[in-house]
Amino acid sequence: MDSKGVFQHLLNNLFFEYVCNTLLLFLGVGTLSGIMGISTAWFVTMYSFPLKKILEWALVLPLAIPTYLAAYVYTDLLSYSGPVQSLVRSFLGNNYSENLIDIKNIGGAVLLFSLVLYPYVYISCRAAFIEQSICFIEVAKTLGKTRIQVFIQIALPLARPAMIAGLSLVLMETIADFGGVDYFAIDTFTTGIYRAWFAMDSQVGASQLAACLLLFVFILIYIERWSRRRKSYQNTNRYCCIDPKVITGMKGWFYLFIFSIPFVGGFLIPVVRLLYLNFIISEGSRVVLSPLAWNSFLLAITTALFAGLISLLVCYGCRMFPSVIKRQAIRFILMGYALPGTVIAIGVLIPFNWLDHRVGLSLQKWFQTDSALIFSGSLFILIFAYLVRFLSVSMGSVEAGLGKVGNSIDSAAKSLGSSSMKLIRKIHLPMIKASFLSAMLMVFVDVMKELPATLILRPFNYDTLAVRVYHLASDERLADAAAPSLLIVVVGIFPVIIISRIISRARPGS
Amino acid sequence: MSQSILELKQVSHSYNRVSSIQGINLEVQKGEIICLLGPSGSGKSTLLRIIAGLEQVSHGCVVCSGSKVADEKNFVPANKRDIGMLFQDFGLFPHMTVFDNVAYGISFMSNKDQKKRVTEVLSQVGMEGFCSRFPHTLSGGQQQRIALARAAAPEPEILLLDEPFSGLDSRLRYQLRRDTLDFLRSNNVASIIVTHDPEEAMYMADRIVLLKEGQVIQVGSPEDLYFSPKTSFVASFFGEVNIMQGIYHNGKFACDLGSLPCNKITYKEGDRLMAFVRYEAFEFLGSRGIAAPEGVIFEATIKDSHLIGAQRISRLVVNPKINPSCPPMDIVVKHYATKSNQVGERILCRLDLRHVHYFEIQEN
Repeated sequence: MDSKGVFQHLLNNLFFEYVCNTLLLFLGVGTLSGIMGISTAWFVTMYSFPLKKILEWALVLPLAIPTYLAAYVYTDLLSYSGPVQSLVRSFLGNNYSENLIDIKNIGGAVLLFSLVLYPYVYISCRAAFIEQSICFIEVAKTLGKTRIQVFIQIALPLARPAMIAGLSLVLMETIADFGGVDYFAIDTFTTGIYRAWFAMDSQVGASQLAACLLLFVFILIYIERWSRRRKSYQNTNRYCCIDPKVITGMKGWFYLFIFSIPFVGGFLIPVVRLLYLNFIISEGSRVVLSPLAWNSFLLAITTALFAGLISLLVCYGCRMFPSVIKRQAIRFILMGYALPGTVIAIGVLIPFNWLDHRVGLSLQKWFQTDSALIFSGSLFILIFAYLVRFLSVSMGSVEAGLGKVGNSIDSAAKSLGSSSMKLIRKIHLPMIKASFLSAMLMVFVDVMKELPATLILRPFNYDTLAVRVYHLASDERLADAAAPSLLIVVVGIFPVIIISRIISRARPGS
Repeated sequence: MSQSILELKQVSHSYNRVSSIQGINLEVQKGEIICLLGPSGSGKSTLLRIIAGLEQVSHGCVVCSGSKVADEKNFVPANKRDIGMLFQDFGLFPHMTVFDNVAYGISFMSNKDQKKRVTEVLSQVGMEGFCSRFPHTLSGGQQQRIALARAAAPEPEILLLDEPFSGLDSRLRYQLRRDTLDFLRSNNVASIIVTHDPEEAMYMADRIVLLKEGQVIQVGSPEDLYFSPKTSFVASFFGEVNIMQGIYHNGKFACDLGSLPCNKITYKEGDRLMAFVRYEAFEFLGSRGIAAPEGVIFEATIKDSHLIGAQRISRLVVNPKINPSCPPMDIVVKHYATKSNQVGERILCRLDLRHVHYFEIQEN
């Protein structure tokens, strides 16, 4: 099939399905993760109940589980031969042989994605509730309103920008997911792009699909920007004491049970299952972890270093010599995070392929030697793609850290005769050290988890943890995949801890 | 006194076992305007929040219109009390229009009644035309008016105002004080205003409750607190003072300014006292003096002098009367400008004894 034919085929037979599935996922995950995130955030902010302190940060933990891992684990758990159905059969009798639960469909994907992605909404809404709404709760109380009325009339409308910001992150992750939908055999844009590239061998078809996907992404970015526009209503810096309503006894435990469901489903069950698979089932047939872990580590640390340094450079450039063009360029960089890994992979492969081709021709012409694929066949292109995708993560953190160093500090240092270098070394670096490190850590973890771009761009036979997990899971060897999966989860917990510490510190008055 | 709208009996409160308010008693009558005055950390805002139902008492009880709303065991939350509160930062809901903000507390009324009441209360604060505006488009003073209208719209028994003018610039503050006072008077509502500004308290209040470290130091009319301060804290809280030490002798207080009449009979012969002499206790008589000088008059040299409006603040150098060998002392005076305000000039000064308050010297 020529490239035009491929796209025609995609358009005629698959495009509609891609759009439908993507939209269904959008709607489902948006609604479900929204409900989970908002309700848990409100509950944890406004009520005091047994084990609250633990639940507060436990609710963030599901972020450490990549969507594809959730899909693998739950499929394994709920499959015909899995523990849940076996248990049910043992009650119903052995002659009951129908498959009771099928999670490999859109409904299942919606549920699982929501379970691991809702913390984005939880985090942003919780911050909004703490920073803004709480202050208005007392006002509403003196005007005779109850907690429920306050929630509906004041807190929800005020938290709307935060809610939309959190939801747009959830949807960006949803749209970018490849491993999960691929495993569930749900045809979406990301799987379509992958298939067009590898199965149909059509660069053009893949790029055309990627362009369509970009349209979705741009809509999301626009919505997110729009939601931020109205964020700066009015800042109140009154000390607000959060006066959580105390719920004790059975009622307290009942509430704890209800609101810990997202954590249990999104983190506890997958981790326990992985631990079980790793230590009980797969005894003996161990995957050799060290080369995989080394590959992943190397990629992640290199990318993190580059990302950190580039962010620092760019942010400083903007601070010292601000200009409109630079600010626009930064906004452009920040969009990278919204781009699905598949799109970025295609996007960098095509130009670098061309470059390799040119370099090869030149080498042949001048030196009569054949060249290897210098860019597209090496780790260079992989790290480049990671940077495109994750630079925004480190930029955000470095920018925020640098933003806290007020301009008056610069002026004060300069008036005391400090040079620019001395200013950076003595004043800025110590002040932004924490945010700089956390920026690199975030990138590190994101690279460790990344699947689709790695899958497309990695050099031949170069496996990372995520790639090996993907292959093992595709071969239904989940027990063997447990060890690398656990490693990914463990690494992923670090930034989650940082994030939850940042929110708890952001609380006024504590 | 069955008329009292609010009664506090031995109210105490503590934050994390640190006592913030101790045994406060207070009765407020209908239409009365009370100011809770005190430095920061004196517990005045906490007391207001206890009355509002935003804070619980640890001891004592709060009685609102004859029914007990809070004691050690019972607690009626803010939303079930008949109070309105104006917050320091106004707390206007940013996502609602002015109309919706003001109507928020009266949603139990029919739409028609709501509209009527909102229009009425907005016109009282002079903000009729602003119904469809959003809070962030209003100036600070306008926001204050809307917040006042919102708090008053449900016609509460008591209005609580927490530092209502603190965020506003001084010029605007005077106007808003007057307008707010008119509003409270015309609604005949019992009001409790928290402030740290003694001038504001004196302007607004029927009665001032002066607090320090969680305890009531003095309660009374502005005149009581200004002219008859019970303690040196009260005296110095209501304005800058010169402090002078001296000895009680034969019905007079002998100090470096001279012998001042002091007819408090509680003092014994030879008691060591200190006099708090307000900056505004002095009047310049000019350099030539007057024909029939009355009261305590002394001579001084002008060290420096600054115009601050209708008045001047000057530093005077006075030669001590008791012990002439001591170095000359400085006193600060706030006085109306006369022709003679030249630095280095010698002038005659009259002391207004209503502004001199005597206290025993505490041994510490």
